[in-house]
Amino acid sequence: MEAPLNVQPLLLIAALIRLILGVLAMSASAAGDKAGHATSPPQGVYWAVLVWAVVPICCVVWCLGAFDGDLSRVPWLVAGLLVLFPWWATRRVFIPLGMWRTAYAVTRLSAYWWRGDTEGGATMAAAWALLHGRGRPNAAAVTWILARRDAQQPLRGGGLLATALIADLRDDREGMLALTRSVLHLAPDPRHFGARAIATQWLAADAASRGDWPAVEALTQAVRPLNAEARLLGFIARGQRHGVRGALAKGRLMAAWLLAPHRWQTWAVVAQTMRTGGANGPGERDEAPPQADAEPDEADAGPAGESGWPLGAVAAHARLMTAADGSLPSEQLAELAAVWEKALSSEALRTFVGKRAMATGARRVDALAVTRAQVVDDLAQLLRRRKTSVGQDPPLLLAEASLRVESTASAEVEACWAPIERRRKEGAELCATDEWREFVALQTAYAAAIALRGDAGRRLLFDETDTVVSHLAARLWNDRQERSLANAMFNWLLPEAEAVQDEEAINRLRRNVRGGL
Amino acid sequence: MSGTPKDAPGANGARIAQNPFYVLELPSECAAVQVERQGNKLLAMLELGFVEAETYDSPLGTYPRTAEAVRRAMAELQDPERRLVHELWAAMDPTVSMDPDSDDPTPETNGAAPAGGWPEAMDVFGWRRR
Repeated sequence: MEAPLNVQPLLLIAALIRLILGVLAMSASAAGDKAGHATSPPQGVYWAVLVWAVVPICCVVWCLGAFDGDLSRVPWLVAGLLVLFPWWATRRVFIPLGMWRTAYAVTRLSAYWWRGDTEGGATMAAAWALLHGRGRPNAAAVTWILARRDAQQPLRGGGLLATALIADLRDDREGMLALTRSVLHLAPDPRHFGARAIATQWLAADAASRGDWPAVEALTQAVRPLNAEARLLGFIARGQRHGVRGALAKGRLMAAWLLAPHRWQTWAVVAQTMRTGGANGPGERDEAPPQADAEPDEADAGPAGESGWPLGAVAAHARLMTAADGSLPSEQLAELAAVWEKALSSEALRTFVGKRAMATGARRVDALAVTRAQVVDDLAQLLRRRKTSVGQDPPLLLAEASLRVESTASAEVEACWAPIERRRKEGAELCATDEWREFVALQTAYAAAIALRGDAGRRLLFDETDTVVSHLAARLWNDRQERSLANAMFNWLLPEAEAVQDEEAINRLRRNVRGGL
Repeated sequence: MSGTPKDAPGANGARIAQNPFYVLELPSECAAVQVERQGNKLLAMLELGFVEAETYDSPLGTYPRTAEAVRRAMAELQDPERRLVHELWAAMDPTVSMDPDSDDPTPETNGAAPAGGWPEAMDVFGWRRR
């Protein structure tokens, strides 16, 4: 009697071959970007559908075989599940275990989640696993990952996230956050869905750990699609801010919790959000900002007691200087500046300082003028750190501080233009990641300057910024086929052009944005 | 008010937290000779490893005191012009803390989000387990 033909392994092998061909076809599709036209949606999804049409049936058969005691089916079953859920296995198993090579290899099978950017996703997964590894960072692995990233063309979100993770490995947390935030500038195209969802999850987790629930809510509302983790963080943020009222809201939060991983670790927060969210506004740090004159008696700008010291002004100053980071309403800075102005111009304080100067022999320098300059320094530092713009008719001290910060901020934007323009004139170029980092630095400096100077600053800085960034994006698009990065740059410029109502720039940028990826 | 010393103050509030009068634990109207005497006493205590000399109180919290900080404070107060400016900034009582960290210890949250946020969020959903 002939042995029955065992077709399941053959089916799995066929599916694997098809998947590999699919990945190769996707690479060809990505290469098609170079032709100079907008490309069709990535094809990875079709291959994923194909795999899903075949492999689940095999898995069921192997599973039944394994239950019948045929343990030879178990390795096939594991392999089948890996093919079906490569990103899930990478995220839940290989990354936490620090298995960076396996994470890289398995993520390359992730034709759905990382469609159009499997190489970037694989590089990111390897870097992420490396971050979870024990002991010192593996220098050889870092070099290997960076080489893989540099070989990617076009560079997409996965490669940028890999760079961000390597920055964190090198203890450059600011660089890590800046690069992660920059991924959200990429167009919401299926090729970027995986990277944008992961970036949103990380940034939302970072904001939640600081108690910045408004930022979590804004972030999770602005980005689509979200992964289960980011969606849960979004629901928690909404619950923390506005409360969870009604069966529907509770059901949605519970569903998000059930669909997200780490249910055991997240249950306490979900339960607390349902119980007290919105009632006491946990984490609403920015709703209870430090008050410059929280204690009116003490904050009296005049002399305090016998000493004549500006106790109220110093106390208000200390309170704002040491308040937790975050936005600071300009009214509070104005209040502080007004308190100082009143204190420093008080006759009693002048008399007191005069007496002390006589007693200590301090006759060469005007102590009040020095203190005034120090107050302006600190106000400028506050304006800069909190990215706060001054309102209408600010007190003199605040106006001085603002002028200083504004000119520094503009100078920083100009300093970012210079190297990009120099390279353009010399015909030199950096690797795509470094070009992107320079753009991110320029974009950050520009945003800081606009936050301080408002529309007046935007009108002053837009023209040259538009010229520099447009030239950079055009070179990336035309000469290097870095379409994702170029498209993101045009996308960022467009609302700025609309804000200054520059019709020529608006039309040009719209055309460029429509060029696609 | 002594509590767990914080890291050396950064730019935020350093003008107040590192005020020489607080470092030397002197009132701002003290005589120059007191500055010299107190500075030398603190340097000797630090040399001998006296625990009480290793920290000082400021309105922004408790900070570590080093021999270098003591010498710098003495030098600042020996210059009459700079001393007068420091007098103006030393208006607050160092024993009354404005430091939010020095309040009551954080209540047990049983893993739930405390008032300031959800510090474990990065462990659970972030990019790095700390």
